Amino acid sequence: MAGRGRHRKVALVPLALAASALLLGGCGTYPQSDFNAVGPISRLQRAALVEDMRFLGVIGIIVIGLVVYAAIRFRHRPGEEETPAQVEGNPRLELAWWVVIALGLIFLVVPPLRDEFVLAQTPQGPGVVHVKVIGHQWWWEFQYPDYNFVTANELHIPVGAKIDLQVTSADVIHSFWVPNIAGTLDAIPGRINTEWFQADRPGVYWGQCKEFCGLNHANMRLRVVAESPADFQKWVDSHQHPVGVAGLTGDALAGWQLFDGAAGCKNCHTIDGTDAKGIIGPNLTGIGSRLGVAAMTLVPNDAQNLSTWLHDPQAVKPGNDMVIPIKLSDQQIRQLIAFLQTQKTYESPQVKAALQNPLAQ
Amino acid sequence: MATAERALHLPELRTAEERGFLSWLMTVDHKRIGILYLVTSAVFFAAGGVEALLMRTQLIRPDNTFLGPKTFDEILTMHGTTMIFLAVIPLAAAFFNYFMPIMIGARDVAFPRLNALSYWLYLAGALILYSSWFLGGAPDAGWFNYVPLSDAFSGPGENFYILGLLLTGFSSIVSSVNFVTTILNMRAPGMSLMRMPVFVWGTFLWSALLLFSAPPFSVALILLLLDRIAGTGFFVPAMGGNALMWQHLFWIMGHPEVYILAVPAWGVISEVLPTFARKPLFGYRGAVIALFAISSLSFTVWSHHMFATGMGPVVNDAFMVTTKLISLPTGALVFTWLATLWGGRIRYTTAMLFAVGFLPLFIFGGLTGLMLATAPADLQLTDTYFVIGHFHYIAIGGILFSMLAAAYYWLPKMTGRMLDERLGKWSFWITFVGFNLTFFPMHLSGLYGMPRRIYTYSPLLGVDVYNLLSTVGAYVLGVGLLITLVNVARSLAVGKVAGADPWDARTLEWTTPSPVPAYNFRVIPLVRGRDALWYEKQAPDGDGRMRGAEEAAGAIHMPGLTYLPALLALGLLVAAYGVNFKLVWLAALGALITFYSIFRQMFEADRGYLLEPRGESE
Ligand code: HEM
Ligand SMILES: [Cu+2]
Repeated sequence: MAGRGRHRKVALVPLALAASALLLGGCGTYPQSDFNAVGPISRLQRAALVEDMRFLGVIGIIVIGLVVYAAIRFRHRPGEEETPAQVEGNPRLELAWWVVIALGLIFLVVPPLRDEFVLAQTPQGPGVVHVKVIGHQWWWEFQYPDYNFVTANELHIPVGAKIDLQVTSADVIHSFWVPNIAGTLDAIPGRINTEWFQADRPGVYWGQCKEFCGLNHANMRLRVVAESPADFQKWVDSHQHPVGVAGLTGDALAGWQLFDGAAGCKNCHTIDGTDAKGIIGPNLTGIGSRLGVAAMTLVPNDAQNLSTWLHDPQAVKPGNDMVIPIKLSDQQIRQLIAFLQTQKTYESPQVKAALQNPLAQ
Repeated sequence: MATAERALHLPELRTAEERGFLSWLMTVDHKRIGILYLVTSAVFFAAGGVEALLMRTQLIRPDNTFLGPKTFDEILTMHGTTMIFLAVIPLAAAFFNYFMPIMIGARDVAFPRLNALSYWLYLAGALILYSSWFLGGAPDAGWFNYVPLSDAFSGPGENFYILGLLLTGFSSIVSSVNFVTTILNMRAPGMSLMRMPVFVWGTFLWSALLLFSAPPFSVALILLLLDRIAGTGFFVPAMGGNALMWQHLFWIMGHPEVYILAVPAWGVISEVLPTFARKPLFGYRGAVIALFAISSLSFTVWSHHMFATGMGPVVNDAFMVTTKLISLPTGALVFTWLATLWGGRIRYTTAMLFAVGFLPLFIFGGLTGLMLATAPADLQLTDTYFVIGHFHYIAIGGILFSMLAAAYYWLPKMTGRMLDERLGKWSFWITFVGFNLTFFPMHLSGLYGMPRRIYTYSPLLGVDVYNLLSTVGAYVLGVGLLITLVNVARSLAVGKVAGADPWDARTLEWTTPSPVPAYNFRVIPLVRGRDALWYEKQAPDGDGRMRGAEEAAGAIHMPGLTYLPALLALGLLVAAYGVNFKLVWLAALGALITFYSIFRQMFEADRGYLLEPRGESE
């Protein structure tokens, strides 16, 4: 947990001033903070942000200070009845402030011009990992064209590698955002947007849809798991050789039979290595090792949260497309959960820690 | 022939002004229309405020279940739409209507009937929008209403958004034409352009901005309406349309919109500060130049709302530069106000408190705006609570505060009664504290990762404290505003009589009795300097009173009452419901009423009437 989201107090000094001491002292962790940058892109964005905060903070203190000073110093005091000097203006002074502001603007305008070009680079080379991100109401699909598999709501990437993202949407406009790694990019139907990013530290980073996309915009969350290249490779292998359903027994087997049959799950969900090939809902390969349920609406991904979801998906996320055709009994839910929990993929130390504690890094 | 003959008849002579309920429906007096605007926009402001409190109540703690997502989204959409289109624009229109003609020494606007029409169109649009609550649910795609969410993915409420805003947009265009014409043509002798109060320049630029920005938005609304009800695909990618096109059309209106809200506010500040600092505005010419510069630049910055849409580095950088450029004239304005205070003898009436309170809040909001203009930073900040914090510092700190200053400053002129200063000061301080308590913490919750437009959030985000503070603050803010409402009601009942010039002020409206008689000026004034009244108070050859530009005549010719503008708006209202419910007969009926009204206007000569001025001396 150490280090996770520890906010950079220094960055806030100018903006937050006195209030920050009151508000920030002893507050918890911020898994989605703009300040906890772990990659080149987020660092560049944070630098632009912090530079602005410092520069504008100083200007703000000076100008607001002058206003407060004037407001107090030139107040009318009892007994002062004569009219003050009627000054209509002073062309030199006025010109001076236009010039001073214009000079200040140069510092504000020029440095960030470069940044946009860095963000727009297309990474090349053998180490680059390509990912296609597709927003759906209200979950995320991640396709790995290099490796030929698909996952949902949880993007795994190797530490230190450049990730080349192609972002689009299947329905309305969404927006892909993982602040610790990179800022926002819109997912727009009929259009593919690209960006790249990289994580320099292993960890589990939080993200969330940022463009208003309807009823459950608030619950369209995601995680990026950055793990060592070796761990990432194992995770990829486990997707390419999924556990499947051979050898299931007991509750898990019963659960699979429900999934495959009466409960209708397979009409909408795919699990690689089985005959479930639905494409309406998120791909569930490796669901047993994911960090949350329903696009991270319910965390952690434990029996209790799975049960809450399966009891009534519409109560958890009203309006979502998951409608179970039969009324599931408690026992059936137990069986389904037992089955889902067998569908594991490789769990790196980062995943193991986050399964224990959602805020773990 | 017949018309010419009729015009020869002398209009009837009246000794009293219009009275009674019906006269409000038929009035063409710019002041009464201003009052209609004021009351209506206050009602919608209250509605928007209640919606805000409901949202804040839902967000008081994580995983709250006070409002479900559907209701929250409807309220969110209605709050934004109401505040922008039904509360703040018309609030500015209220003061423009009432004061702009008086401040330039005119007896009325150029087109009194058009003026009435613009009010009734606004009301019709507002009623359409709010009737959605009872006719299948309010729009829920947010005030910027992005496609495709607002298209195939949302309910019937969207149509109300489209039709309602078409009518309010039409209303804005109509009043803009009217105000521009009035300002250019109806100024009193001596009132040269560069002697006009800055508030009048505000009216002029507000009108110009609306004139150029309302039409593209109306086009976008019509295209969207066709997509929704006629099966076209202008914005539908699968049909060859373009989802991003909506965003461009929307923000080409939406960004100038910010200045449409702000320019009137700056006009008010530029009147109130000199009055109570007892000094002229410092650098009038520079301020006018700055206002023109801001208004022109405001049409070149719209895509700064779209940095995350993947426009590419060149486009993003171009919009970053234009956006930051706006801060040059805006900063110059701030220094103009600062220098106006400097060396003054500031009398802290409630109006002045709100005007001075405006300054730090507006400056702060401007600076956070500059952060958002830095594209790489914005990619983190956009669509978080940081943005909500930022633009409410502009919307409330900047705009609402100056409108409250305007209310405390000008209501005595409109009602003839003073507001209570003690209540006013309580209201100011509670509003000021509540406002900062609500919106400052939002910057922090935004920086720590809370997106906007979410009906719930996880306790794990760590932003509970900030949200709790924001919600408590919102209630404090509400109390502060309520006190002003009580103050107004109290003033109407038992307020001290105001007299013509309670503030020892500077401009022409203070030369007329309070409330202002129907004809404004018994004698059209002769303007001899900027701040015309102050000039006479200071001039060695003046006696502190305005001189007349003409001999006092007898009765004054007034435009006649008419129900036709209201009827025209009613026709469009009916037609809009016809379109909404795809009822051809209803749409046809609406069209019929509309055309009847138009034709009557064309062929009916208005003889007006003659009004005997009230006895009082001026
Ligand atoms: C009475 C004081 C007010 C309070 C407490 C308040 C509070 C809020 C809150 C909580 C939101 C929702 C943020 C989100 O979920 O994204 C919001 C959005 C908004 N507010 Fe206010 N607000 C107030 C006054 C105003 C005023 C005076 C204006 C405009 C002149 C305004 C314009 C907006 C707009 C445009 C939105 C965005 C709506 C959208 O995202 O579709 N508000 N406000
Ligand atoms: Cu989304």
